[in-house]
Amino acid sequence: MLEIKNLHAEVEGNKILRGINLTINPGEIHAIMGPNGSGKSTLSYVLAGKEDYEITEGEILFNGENVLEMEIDERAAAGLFLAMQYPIEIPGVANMTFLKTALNAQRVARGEGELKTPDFMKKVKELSAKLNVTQEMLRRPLNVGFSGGEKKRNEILQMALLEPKLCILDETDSGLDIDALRIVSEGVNALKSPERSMLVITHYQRLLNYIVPDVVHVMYKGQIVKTGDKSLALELEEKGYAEFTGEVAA
Amino acid sequence: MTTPAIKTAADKALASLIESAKGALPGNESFASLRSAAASAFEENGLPTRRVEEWKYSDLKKAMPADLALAQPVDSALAKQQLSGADIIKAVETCRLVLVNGIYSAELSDLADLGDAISVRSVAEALQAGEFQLDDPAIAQGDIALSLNTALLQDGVIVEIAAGAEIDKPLEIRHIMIGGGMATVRNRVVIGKGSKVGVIETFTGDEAAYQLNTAIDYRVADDAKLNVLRIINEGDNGLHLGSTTATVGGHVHFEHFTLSASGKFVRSQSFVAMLGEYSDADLFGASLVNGSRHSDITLKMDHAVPNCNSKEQYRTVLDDKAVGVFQGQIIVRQYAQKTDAKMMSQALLLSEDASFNNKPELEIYADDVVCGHGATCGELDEDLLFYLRARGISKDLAKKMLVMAFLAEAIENVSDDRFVEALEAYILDRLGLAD
Repeated sequence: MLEIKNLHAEVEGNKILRGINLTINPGEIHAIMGPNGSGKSTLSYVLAGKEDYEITEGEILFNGENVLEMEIDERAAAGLFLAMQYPIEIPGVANMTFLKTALNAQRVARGEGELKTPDFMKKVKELSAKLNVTQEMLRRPLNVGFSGGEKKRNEILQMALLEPKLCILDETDSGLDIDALRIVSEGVNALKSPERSMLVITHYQRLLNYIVPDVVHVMYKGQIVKTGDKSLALELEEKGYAEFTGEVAA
Repeated sequence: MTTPAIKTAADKALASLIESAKGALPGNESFASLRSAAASAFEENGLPTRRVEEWKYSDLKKAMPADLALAQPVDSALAKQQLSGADIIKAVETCRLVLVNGIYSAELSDLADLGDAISVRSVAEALQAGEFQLDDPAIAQGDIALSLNTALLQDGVIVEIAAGAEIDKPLEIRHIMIGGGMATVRNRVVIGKGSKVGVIETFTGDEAAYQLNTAIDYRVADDAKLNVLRIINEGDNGLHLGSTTATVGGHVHFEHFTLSASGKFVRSQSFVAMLGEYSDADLFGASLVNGSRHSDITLKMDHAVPNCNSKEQYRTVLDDKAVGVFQGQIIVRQYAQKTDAKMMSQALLLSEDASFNNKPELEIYADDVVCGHGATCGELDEDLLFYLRARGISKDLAKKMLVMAFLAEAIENVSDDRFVEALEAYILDRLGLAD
């Protein structure tokens, strides 16, 4: 599904990613953990195509296609979805209009044709009920005046609606209380399938109690420094990142 | 002010047009003397140079062509045909008054649902009968566009709305230019005490080079509610010199929205005088300027009496090599205590070659008032673009959505839902976002 080979990226001359290698197979859930500033969010932005980063080396293949040559929206239409750490507020664009425009843009890009309004409404209604996204939130401008939890639920609603092949969750747990975390995790788990992969980026092990990973990576200073199974997350929770920060810094 | 002699070809052409048209223009003797006073003033000053403060950012001398002639009367069959394409507010049903090349056409107007509360008369006819007096508010005195309007005035409509009338269907005053040339219009809308009415002014034209000098005078009596929507949709070679004057009585709610959407050179200026206490005036607007177009919104708000509120909020989107201007002046006279006036002008630049001139001015002589102004000028937010594109929306479509979103915040000020619908439909269509 996703193959990252020796990926180096920098922003304004600062090297952030220093040789990332990562392979995710269909149906797998991978978690990336690591201390602040290790480059986790940068990796997610580079995958999605944010233009602030310069890729100096390496490649990213998504189902065999060279991701680095694709536009941001082409990546989305190909099935790559980034649930953002800080979903942006867009006054003047109604949430519902945004959802419909996004879904239809992807469908058209894939040659599937637009979804008719009644079918779209039905789909949104079903999914939003599960995620506790109210009609009022759908009518409001995108994310404007949403609480932290509402914004994250709205991210997961987009993910559920767009049915991507690879879901990248960038610190989706940040700013969530226990109840919100449960709703969001259930939403994510409902999307698990043998054809869909996930990359979960988080500081804390807590989220991984709900979304159980197959593989856990530790990222530090722009590299993956350790890979293990879900027990690695528990180990990190107990011992912290000192092992890595000490080791690499020494 | 020094008096520059008439120099440019456009000045000469205009002076000779005023001279040659004199005999053919309507009006009794007393109006003829007003015309010649305006003509002499023009002889003396010519078109404003950029040294004239009010015209610093809009070079009318340069914009006015050197080959000027009055627009010709149009065959009514042709006018009818053009008129169907000039329907730019399909979303709203209106009673319609039509002016073709500056001349009121009762035949082309649709007054079926007008009712008894509205009367309509042609300005040319009133001028002949000596029944049309010019009486501009103090802040509009000496304005060059209005002075030229007096010199060359051809026709217009005088609409009177009876006291206490509540008019359901908005009244549309539709201006259409066909085949090029210069036309000069002055309309007057008299809003009776306690009446409620919506007026839509639309301006369209074909591809020919033309110059429309259009003015409208709103006289709003006490307790009335007036909503105005003004859509400037001139042809690509059209020059639009538009003036709004309004005198506002007491306990009035006056709301005015200008959409400057097309035309080669557009100057839309408003002069509003608050003359009665406890009134609100909301002046809103949005401008979409692209190509090498020039669009100027100029307003003067005169708070002459106490206890009134005014809001001035404008948004401008500029692309390509377009030039935008916003000049907003709020005057609070010494006697106008407890005035609350807020002005905001925001621009969005989509191109590095576009430019925007933003000049808010407050002139406050009273000491117990709340007044403020703000001005911003920025580009599209890259983070917003990224968010939309990361959901699969193309760059082009994402930009358009953000432009719409920027303008939607101006439109949401409008209280009449029908006007909101008309504006949204127009802008969505213009941006290519309509379903």
